[in-house]
Amino acid sequence: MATTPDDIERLIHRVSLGDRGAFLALYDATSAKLFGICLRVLKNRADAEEALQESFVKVWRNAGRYAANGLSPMTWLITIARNTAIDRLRSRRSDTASGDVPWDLPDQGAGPEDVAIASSEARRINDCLEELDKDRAQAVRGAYLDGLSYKELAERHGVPLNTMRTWLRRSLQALRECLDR
Amino acid sequence: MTDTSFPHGGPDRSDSVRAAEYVLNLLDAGERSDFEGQLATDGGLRARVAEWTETFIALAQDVAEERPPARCRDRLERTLFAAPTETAGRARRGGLARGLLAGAALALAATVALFAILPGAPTMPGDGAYRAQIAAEDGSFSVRAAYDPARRVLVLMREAGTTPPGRVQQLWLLPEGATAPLSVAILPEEEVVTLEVAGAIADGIPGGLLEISEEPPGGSPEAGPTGNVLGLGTVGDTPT
Repeated sequence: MATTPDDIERLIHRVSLGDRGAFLALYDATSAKLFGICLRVLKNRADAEEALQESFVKVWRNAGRYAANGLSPMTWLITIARNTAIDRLRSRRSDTASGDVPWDLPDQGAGPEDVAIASSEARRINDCLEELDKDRAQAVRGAYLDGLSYKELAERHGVPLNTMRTWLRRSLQALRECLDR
Repeated sequence: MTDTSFPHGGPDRSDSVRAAEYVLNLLDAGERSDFEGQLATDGGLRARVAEWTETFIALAQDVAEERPPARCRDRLERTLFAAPTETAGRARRGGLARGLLAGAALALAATVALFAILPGAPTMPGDGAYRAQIAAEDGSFSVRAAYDPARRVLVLMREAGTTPPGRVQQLWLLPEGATAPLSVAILPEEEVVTLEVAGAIADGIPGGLLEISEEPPGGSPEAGPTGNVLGLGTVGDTPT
């Protein structure tokens, strides 16, 4: 898509002024990415559609705050979608017995084509994740991309809860040290 | 690195690690609200959060794009703007009729208005409606409201008052016994506004409190009113 971060930023600014056309243009430019994120977290199309919609309602209402948060425009949008999807995921789980969430999607690690399109920033975090043990890197990805809690990560990896906490905190510390090198 | 450098759940783990846990949504509710309290006053911590947010976003590059079905865009337009913007006249009415049907099937969070603005001649509901006067104490602002429960239509008729320049009026409902207001709609500027309501809004009108606040364009950025309350009034709990 020809839309640049500057274009997205301009659209967000116009949305903050109540420009409906800009809002729809922003939707057209970014909804496929945000829907992908919602689907990845929720693994259910109907839920993902609602999370997407809720995300864009938040974008419409909160566009005026974008400039103050210091994030790049796609980061801001993806963060809204991910947090909205995770809220929905957690409330869905609290309605059902815990532990029955199916893991029906394979982990989407960085394949060759992803690496080809990734920015240097993306290469850096993937390189730094490579330095971690494989299952620890997977736990970090599971928390970010699947919205897993410590409890769910512990179940998925078959380790006690406190072990998972220690694992992940150390991994995050190591990741920061690697990224700051 | 030894085990003691990261005590289980210890509050002394580094700000950077806690910021990462916050961004990953790994903090429990108590830790999260403590962390957010600290965020409000600690610029360094906000910088850590922004840093981790930008770092992890790179993982989102691995997530495949997927075009959402067209109905998502249509519903969003109806939810936010009440009618599709690119159609007009008869086509617009058709769109609205479809919109109302689809709207009824929508189960959105309470922060999303469950309403549609109806076209047609402005008339106040007659007998059998629940009524309220949404007004300021000094009479500087006054809107007459009547809700027809059979058609699930809320009609507002402006009698006095204006909106400050660059602001919009937003209608809120506090159902009887509720502790937080629901956003009903951002009101168009017409003298008579007809809203079709559904769900918690429709159920909560009888006996509820209606409130109109002035808000930035696009409506309150919060779950409740952020601007001045222009007027309020309780809806009768029996139809008249």
